[in-house]
Amino acid sequence: MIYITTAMHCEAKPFIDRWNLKKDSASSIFRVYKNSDRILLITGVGVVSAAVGATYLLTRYPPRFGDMFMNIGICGAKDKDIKKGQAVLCHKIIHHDTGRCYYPDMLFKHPFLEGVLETFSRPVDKALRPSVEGDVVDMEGAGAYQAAERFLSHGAIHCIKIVSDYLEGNKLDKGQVTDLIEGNVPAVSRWISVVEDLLPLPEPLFTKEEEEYLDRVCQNLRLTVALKHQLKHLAGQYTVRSQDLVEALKPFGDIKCTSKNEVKRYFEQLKGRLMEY
Amino acid sequence: MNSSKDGLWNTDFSHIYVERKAADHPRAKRILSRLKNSRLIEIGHYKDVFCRSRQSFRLQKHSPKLILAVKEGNLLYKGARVCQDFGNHHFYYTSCVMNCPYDCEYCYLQGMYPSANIVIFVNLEDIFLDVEKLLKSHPVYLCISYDTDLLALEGITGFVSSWLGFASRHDSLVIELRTKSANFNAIKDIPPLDNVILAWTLSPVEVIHDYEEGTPSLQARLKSIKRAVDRGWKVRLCFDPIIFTRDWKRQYGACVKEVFEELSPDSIHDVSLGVFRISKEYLKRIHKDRPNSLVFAYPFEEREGVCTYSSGHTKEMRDFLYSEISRYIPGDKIYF
Repeated sequence: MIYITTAMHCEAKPFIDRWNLKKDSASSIFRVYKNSDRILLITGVGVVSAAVGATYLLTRYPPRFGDMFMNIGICGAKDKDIKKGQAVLCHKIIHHDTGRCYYPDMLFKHPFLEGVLETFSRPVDKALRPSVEGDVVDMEGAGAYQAAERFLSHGAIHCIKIVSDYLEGNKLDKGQVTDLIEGNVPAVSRWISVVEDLLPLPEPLFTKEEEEYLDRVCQNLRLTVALKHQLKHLAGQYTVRSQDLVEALKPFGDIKCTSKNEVKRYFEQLKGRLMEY
Repeated sequence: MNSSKDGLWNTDFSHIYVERKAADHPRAKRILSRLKNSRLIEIGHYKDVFCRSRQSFRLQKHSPKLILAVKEGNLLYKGARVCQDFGNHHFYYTSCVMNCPYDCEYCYLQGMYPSANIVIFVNLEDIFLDVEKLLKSHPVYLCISYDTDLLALEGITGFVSSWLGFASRHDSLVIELRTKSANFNAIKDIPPLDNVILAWTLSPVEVIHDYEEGTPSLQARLKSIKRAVDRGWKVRLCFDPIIFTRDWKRQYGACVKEVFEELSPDSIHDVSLGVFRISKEYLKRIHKDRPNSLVFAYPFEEREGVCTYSSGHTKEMRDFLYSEISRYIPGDKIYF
């Protein structure tokens, strides 16, 4: 699953259209759009909104190993060498107010510019400009990252910002914002597909049959949570050694324990069986 | 083995994180001059990157980054009890580099460090000063390449040459440089030193192929060793860790035979043997990251916080290796 947050609907629209995302009516707090493998949430403007929105998204639709989160939106550039409409993949994100820095792992090749993003709590105007350390500035990146890093590893969190102005206080209308994002949707979308393919999927240790057999044995032997955990660990190692787990569990399949002593005795026997190497 | 996806990952060291206080150090400048294509990212402290929570060691190994930093606090450590001291009373180790460019499946570093990125401490002279302080009280046996492979990184760091220069000025210091590298070339012009032991870790070809990703072949390591002994260096052979596989006896038997067909036993300083062992805490972390690893699917036994093979397997493997090696090397030169 790819998780995306944007601050405004006009930033999200090109992605909603591109991936044919449908509004999730179950979400009433934030506007959420999704299909089977993409989910996008509009956070609202500002660092706190971005953090709250990302937290909501990743809590309500919990990610698994191999999923990716991305914050996308427009930004201002300090330097006119970076052209308007240019996408910047951020390798460092500074939260201006706290001074805290975030570092997405730059594991994948990409077609974008790279740079340092600095997130401010209010719009950066000419007066604030001299205090800018980053190459580009926004009002969400650091908040979104801080929230997302609670859920995903640093190689699976990215921030792409598209330059819309040079911090001169000019306001853009919604259509202009959409156009700037739209121009980068093909490249961003292609890159997301590449990264999605590279991020490893979880490899289940057990087949369905093995899972069911394990659950049956745990239930019949009346194992405590700690013993169940220990059994699953040993069973996992046993399957990795390419040994037939169901065959090893079979002698214990129909045993039903009625006392603690029995639990202890049969668990030790089963443990011994699974530790054979 | 390369896959079609390999070209989609950034190259190793595509990005270098540089601590502000390390940036002007001459060693940092030298390292950066050797990696001109890397992108630099300024950081406050190496831990801001290296010690972040929720890092994926496995993902990062696809494209590890460098971190240049200044080491502070404790620079030398007492040798750990899981490490062989070779009869030296004053056994220390130091970590001027954290993490290794290789990706051995059994490596304890993936349980010890939160990150697969490589930290290079550029202020080697501060470590030298601490060693000199120790040397005032007693001789020192110092392992300089435990949590890394310094010889493999020599092209970037130049640290081995610096250490050898330091060792040449301090007779009461004995240095062990442990490596799997075949990069003897990097130090070929340095005259051999009596107080430096070049220690090569050797494994059967099957273990190298299956579990030592990115490391030189056994043949390449043996070629490097041969050049080192021919130049007059003291060489230690380390069959450590010995890895349990279903066919370990045949694999290690063939390995020992190949080693001593290639190298003259008289040219070897000593041999170290050690079956795989790892701290219980590290093992727990690695299990989470590598649930499908065959190396870690062994039902380990725990003794005083250290996990290793069953006492039966441990004895059998050690005795077998000892008996095979003692055909070539006298027993008093084999440590385990």
